[in-house]
Amino acid sequence: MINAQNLRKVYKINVKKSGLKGALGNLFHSEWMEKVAVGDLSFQMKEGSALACIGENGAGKSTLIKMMIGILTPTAGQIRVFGKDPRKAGHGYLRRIGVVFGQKTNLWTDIPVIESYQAVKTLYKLEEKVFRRNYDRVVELLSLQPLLSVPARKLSLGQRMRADIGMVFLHSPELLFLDEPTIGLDINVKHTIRTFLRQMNQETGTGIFLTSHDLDDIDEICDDAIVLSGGRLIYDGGLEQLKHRFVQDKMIQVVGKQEGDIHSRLPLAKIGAEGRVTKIVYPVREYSSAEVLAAVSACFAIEDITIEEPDIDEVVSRIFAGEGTA
Amino acid sequence: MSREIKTGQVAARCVRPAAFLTQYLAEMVGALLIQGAVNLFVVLVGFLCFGRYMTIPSASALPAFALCLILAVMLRLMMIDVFSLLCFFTTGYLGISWTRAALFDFFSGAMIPVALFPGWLKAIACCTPFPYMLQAPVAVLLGQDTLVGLPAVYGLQTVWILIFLGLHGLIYGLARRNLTIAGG
Repeated sequence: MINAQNLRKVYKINVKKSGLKGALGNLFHSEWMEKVAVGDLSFQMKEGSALACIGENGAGKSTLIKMMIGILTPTAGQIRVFGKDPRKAGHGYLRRIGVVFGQKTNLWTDIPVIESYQAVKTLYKLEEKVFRRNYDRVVELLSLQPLLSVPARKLSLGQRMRADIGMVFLHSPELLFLDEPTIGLDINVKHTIRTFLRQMNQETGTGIFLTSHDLDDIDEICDDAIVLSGGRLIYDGGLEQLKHRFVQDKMIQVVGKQEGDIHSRLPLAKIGAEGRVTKIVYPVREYSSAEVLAAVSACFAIEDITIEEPDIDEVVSRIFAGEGTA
Repeated sequence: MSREIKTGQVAARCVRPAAFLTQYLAEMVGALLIQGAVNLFVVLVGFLCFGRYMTIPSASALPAFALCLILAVMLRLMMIDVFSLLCFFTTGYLGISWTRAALFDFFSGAMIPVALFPGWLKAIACCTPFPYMLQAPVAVLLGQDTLVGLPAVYGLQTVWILIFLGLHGLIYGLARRNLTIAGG
């Protein structure tokens, strides 16, 4: 679906000098510096999968999306989406993809949302049957009915984003590019959007390429991830493997009476008890989950047990702290 | 559109499966039709109230006027489009917008009728596209001097539209090749 080979984008940035003297000087002499936004990036995305692009601010995520949708020209390397160069694929390509920019809107701001949806029907030359099916689905799943008659500029950020996400599915895109779609939204709207995107990915097979700083977005929507740092690829693989590669400790919480000495079975684990609840934090490199569960079973009359999965927040903070990136 | 270019909102236009210019013209024509209907209503009320003090256009001038008006509107839209595209290469849009407005207001006859310009200034004005956006259709409607004759007005309007179309292709192509969108 997406195939990037040695993709590189370098921006030329005009360096402005400060002060009045500097401003006058800039009129006659410009200094330019080069900034590598994306550097020699290679990755692939499978059809119908959901791939997250993780990276700190300025890592090149948005630039990458803009190259994949054909807005920006790569400085070097090549990118193919559906086997074609997005820059040259024309309107046929744009009909197969959908794009949502969290900080911008695709709706026409001065007209009611439903008019924007009708405009999409005309623009994408959709058959009435297809349009109606998609329209009914997005209106129901995203609870858009009360918003349809309101001009986009009068919608709150959360309402606008729901309407934007709904609009992008009207033409049944095969591949969706989402650039920070939940930025600035409250928890309820985020949950609605994540659930909807996951559902559409699984039910319709729409591929999703997602960038987000909200790691819960990534956790709930995507299966695979690429991690960028300073425009370079530092991880490409499954999200679960990413978590396990960077997570050093796991925690098991046991409710029940302790009947044996857990310390002797797991000497490297940190164990804390509070009433009938015992928390066991163990290094994953020393003990497997099976070993820990066996030790817990032997030492506790278990009433309830919770295994805490590694948190993606922790993973990303470790990545950007430079730990375990070998 | 200048504002869209500066804020990056223009990206939304670039991912729609329709030519950039077609989208712009469709939006502007839609807006102008609504605005034109409102303006027509105001003019009709004006005529009903003060018609006897006004010059009533002759019905025979209307077909020639209609064609001239359509070309004038297209020309004006194309001119605005090209000036707006220049914002891809500047850090602000107010200067470009004010320059365009000043040139249009002065040379189109919006401030002072072009017929009242001294000969040399009238000659300069006729070499620009601006009189054919406002002065010409008004003169055709009221049966006044079009400065260059009606066939030449149509011809010059068409030529200027084609020039702006060419400039649109050139500037938009350059902008797409050298576009810089940093910081999201």
